[in-house]
Amino acid sequence: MSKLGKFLKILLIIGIVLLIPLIGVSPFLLNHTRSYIYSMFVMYPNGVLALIFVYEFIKLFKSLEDNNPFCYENVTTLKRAGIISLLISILWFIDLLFMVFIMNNTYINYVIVLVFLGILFFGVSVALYILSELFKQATDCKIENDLTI
Amino acid sequence: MIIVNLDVMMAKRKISSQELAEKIGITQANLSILKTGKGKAIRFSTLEKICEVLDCKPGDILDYEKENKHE
Repeated sequence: MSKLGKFLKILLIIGIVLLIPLIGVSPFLLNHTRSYIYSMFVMYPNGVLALIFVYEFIKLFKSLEDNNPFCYENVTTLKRAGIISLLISILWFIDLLFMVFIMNNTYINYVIVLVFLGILFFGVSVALYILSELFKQATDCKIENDLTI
Repeated sequence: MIIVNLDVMMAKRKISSQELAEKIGITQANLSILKTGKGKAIRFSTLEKICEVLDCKPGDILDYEKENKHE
């Protein structure tokens, strides 16, 4: 596996190892405050989705290692990564609404960061969708070329 | 749809797949793709070599049949 692929795999393992104790310990650390509820509904799903996102990219690196990047599996992998990115973006916007309307936190820097993250992940999801379509057409071309005798 | 009658012509000329593949200069796997009709396209150069080796015309190898859309 390539260096980046190995790095992503290590990142995923660290993420999973940290996630499980964090879910268990957080209620005691935050003492069942409103922040805890907020974490439960926004931050946890976001973390889990980010791990799935990394996992999808590990699969992509594996196919690169096998010298077969243009296959339909990669098209679905990219599409799935795009959907995950869109969900993360939606969660950031929910986070923004939660912060502004329920927690009454209108600290401008925080709001700007959340808006930026929401737009960033939305952009990533659009880019991934376009990339998946590109991969689909490239795969069609490759198969046609492979089956031309 | 286009039907490949390569195996019929091969039987007529009494030539094996291995021999034909060697003479044309393609792999046996590719020849098998061609014979089973899984191929998407055939290069003119390949067709020319097949005709040369089997001593036939493209029409002897390739045939056209109208596709029944209700099937």
